[in-house]
Amino acid sequence: MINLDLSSRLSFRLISLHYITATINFFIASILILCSVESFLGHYFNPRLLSITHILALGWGGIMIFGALYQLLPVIVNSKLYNIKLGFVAFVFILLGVFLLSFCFWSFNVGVLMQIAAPILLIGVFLFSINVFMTSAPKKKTIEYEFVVSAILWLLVTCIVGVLMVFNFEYVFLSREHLHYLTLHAHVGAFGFFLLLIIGVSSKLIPMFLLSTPISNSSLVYSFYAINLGLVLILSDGFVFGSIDRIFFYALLIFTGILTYLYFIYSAYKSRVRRVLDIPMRKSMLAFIFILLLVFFYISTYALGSIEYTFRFIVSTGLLFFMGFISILIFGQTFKTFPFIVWIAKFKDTKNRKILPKDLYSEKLLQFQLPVFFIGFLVFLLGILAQNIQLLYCGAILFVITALLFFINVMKIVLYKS
Amino acid sequence: MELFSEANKIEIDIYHSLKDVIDPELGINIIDLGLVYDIHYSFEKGIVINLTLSSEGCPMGDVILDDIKAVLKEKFTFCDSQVNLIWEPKWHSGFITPAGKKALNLN
Repeated sequence: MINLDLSSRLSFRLISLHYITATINFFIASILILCSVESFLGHYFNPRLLSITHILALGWGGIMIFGALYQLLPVIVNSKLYNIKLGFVAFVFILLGVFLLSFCFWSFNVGVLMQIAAPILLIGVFLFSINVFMTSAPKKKTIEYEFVVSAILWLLVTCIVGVLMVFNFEYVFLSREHLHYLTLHAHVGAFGFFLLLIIGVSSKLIPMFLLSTPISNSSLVYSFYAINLGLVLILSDGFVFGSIDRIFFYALLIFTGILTYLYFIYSAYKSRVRRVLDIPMRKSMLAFIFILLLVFFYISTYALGSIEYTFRFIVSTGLLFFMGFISILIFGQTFKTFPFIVWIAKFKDTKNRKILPKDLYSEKLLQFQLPVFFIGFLVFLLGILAQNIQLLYCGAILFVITALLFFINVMKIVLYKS
Repeated sequence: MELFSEANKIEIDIYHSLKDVIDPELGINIIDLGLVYDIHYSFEKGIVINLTLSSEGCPMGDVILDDIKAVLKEKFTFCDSQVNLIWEPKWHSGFITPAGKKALNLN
């Protein structure tokens, strides 16, 4: 029997805190994008872009996923969360670390403040990891659990590489140039942490929400080994042999893992009992199309000979990952997961159960948010590819509106009164 | 001649009462969703209900079980009740009643 203990006030507060903070961070990131659209025109290694990337990756995607994991991990491992208070402490460290680090990147202060910020963030991630690892392992080790555990390990690796790079700014001790390690840091963070975690959690949730008939997990097993092997090869080649020349081939191995995962999702979709998808699920399904686009852009980056075009495609790939794949998945899954925890906490009394979780948010607002975001995204992507600042401004304005609509809907859930 | 025994009548009554328990994700009751496999009443054992969930690890499992217990406690005060969560046979869409299929827009 599953005992989620979701009605506990502390657990409710911890998860809500993560969802609300991440939502605010997304709004901040969209404002920063609007204030610095010209950063998307040049080389990807620039202070503004690094700052925005860290807010999007950790402040938005990271904190949202940490909150979701506190809610979903007990479901995956069929156990209670190890320590809720530790979750609060980790949250404080992570939030402080993200803000200080992003501020340092924005002002390109690579001195003491950044050297304080990075370890603070690492401590926060370490505490979060303890909570994940100490939450009892399932009696039967499932592939979903393996994905989550490996994702957290890769997150720690990403943060450690990040801390090394921060100190390397001042005390140059790494043998290769900074961009070499940035490539490793970005690949391990994106494919190691985000991708593996999303695969682990979604392979449990998507068939559950779609009411799919049981699907063989052999494609997931392949995906798990292909992605992890690709990452190990990237990291070992990068650190041991000091080369990132073969990274494209390792990425191809990772992409085969992504394709088999998408095959699993497609099988779940095809065998679903729920023929009509609700808006959150439609959004989640769109995210999987974005990941195919991401693969196309990544391959194109290497296929293009011109350095100028390569920069545009690298920035576009980053945009597709964080603003496309991650964000749209969050836009969808937030309304499949967050209303439940608020609903359980607020309507514990069964007599009030006439209201369902889906009644807590505005479907109209959610429906309206999708085209606003989608148009904004396409316009912004075109702006990067065509190096057109007007298009970038238009796209960024639509991102701000998207963030505002998302914030209103999340707050509607939090403040819902029966 | 009575068509139903007293125990049968109580079981039918329980069956209808469980239609008040709604799956929060799908918005339809657990009877029409085909989650309830067995309802048994006897004077000696009280009420015994065997049910399943649409998938193992369903986050709403606790909520559904709590609601069932609340319904039984409210309407069937004269006996004890026991709710068992079972996984065999595995739930599939064939268990959904015609009313449930209509609610879920299934063919």
